[in-house]
Amino acid sequence: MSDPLELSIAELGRGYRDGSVSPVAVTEAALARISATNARLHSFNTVTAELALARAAAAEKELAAGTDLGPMHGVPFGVKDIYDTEGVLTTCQSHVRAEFVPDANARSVQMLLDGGAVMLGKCATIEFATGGPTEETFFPPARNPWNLDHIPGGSSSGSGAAVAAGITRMALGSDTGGSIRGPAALCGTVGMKPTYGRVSRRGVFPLSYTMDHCGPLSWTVEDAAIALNIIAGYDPLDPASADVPVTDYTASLSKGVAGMKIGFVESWIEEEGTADPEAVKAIHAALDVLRASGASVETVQLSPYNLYQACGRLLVLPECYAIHEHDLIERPELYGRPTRERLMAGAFVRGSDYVEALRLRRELAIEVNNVVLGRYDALIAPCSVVTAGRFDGVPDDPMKMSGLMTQPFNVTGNPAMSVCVGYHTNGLPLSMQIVGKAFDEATVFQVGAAYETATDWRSRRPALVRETATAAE
Amino acid sequence: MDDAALRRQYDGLIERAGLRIPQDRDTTMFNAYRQVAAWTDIVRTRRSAAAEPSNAYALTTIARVADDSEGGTL
Repeated sequence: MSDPLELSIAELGRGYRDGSVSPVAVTEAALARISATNARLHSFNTVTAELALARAAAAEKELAAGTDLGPMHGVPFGVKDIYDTEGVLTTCQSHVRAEFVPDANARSVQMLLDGGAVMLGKCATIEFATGGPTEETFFPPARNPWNLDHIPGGSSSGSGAAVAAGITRMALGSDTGGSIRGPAALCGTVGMKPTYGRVSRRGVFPLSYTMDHCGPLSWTVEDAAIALNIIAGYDPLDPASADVPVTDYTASLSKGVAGMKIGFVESWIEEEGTADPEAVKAIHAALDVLRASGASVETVQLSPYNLYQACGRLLVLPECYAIHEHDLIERPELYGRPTRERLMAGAFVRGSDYVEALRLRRELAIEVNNVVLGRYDALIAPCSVVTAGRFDGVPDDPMKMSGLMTQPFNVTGNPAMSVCVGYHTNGLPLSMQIVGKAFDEATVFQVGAAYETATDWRSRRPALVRETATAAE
Repeated sequence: MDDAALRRQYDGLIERAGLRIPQDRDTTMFNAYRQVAAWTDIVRTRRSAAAEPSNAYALTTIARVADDSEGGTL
């Protein structure tokens, strides 16, 4: 049999049901790849091998007996280490939570487990999902499987690294300013930030109450659609959960983009100023692919990027400061320096600044949703306009966001997905962002699937994967 | 605003917050304050009193938790 870790979630499902693929064998392969890579990649903080094998064995028996819990029954997945997992250490990568073992699962973890999925363990994150990668944290930072000297992005760093390294087809992440889409962009995976309120945040350690979104990082658009089908939905115990019907996200995947009107937010690239020419060229080539597939693509004008960024930062900073204030005063030494300094900057925002940012947020959400997406089916925007930086080049400035252009859609709450649009001559992945109307994740997936089908970027894996697969033979 | 005025604001905020900034990180954190002040200038504009913030309080989000048998605490 070819490498079972290269099978999509849908292919695994078919294989499990016709008996040609075994959930236990797939789980063993995933655990073997973690063992082979984790000393260098650090994508997992905690591996729940025994639990995973027991669940895989149970899934195998259940499926053989005709008990079918759904499309991820028996499929391995990873969980960012800020999601609560019952009986499993949940550190947020921090010495502050070095011994925290939750007594319940986060809502989305529970939904996946109820659907028979197999949790492999807890994926590395940036400490408390903010700051930067540092060796000062409770676990070492994840590295980029395309080049271990480079960062994988953050804060769902281990999730992105694990998916790109072929350990799992899907890992849960969270996104407050780009923490799903950023690692997806830098690791060359798909990263879906759904609409605010679409996926419950219950049991996920908060960074910013009004900006946190939960969602999947995956290898393909279809994998993400299947995962979101499971974790999306109303949760009365999440105050921000939206009571909006969930559609079948896989239904739109083969519809293509013929006749679709797509807007391109080009001005943000020009405004950013430090965009890598190859990253820009790859986005334009991707637009040509969409045009060749029948979509009309034209440039649209949104407010300057720095307005969205200022709004977002002035919301996140005081919200995370309020969460961490006590520990920042009483035991600041337990935080890694980048996280501590980023969090402390929340003390600099006055109450009226915060309210002004909230008022601006409403104006920006109206601009994106009513003005622009009233005329277009979807938007294309830059995601990261640079490739993954080196670990030894991580900026000393706690406010630096290094080429990511994801924050606007945390501000507006729109669904936004990062997809790979090729590879730089330095070997690292390039990306773009597909943005949809509120609660219209289906169209985002539709555009992403059309692009992915028309290109062959998914056939390429990091050399680390090839080395590991060869060694295992 | 000149640096001296910004510096006075920064020192006052750090003192009021009760935060301890190591001497060797003081310049970095002051620069962070300068960045936050710049963002503040960007978002502050004259808005009418009717311009609501995006997160206006919604009682239903509280009521539904109280109604839920799983974990309502109200």
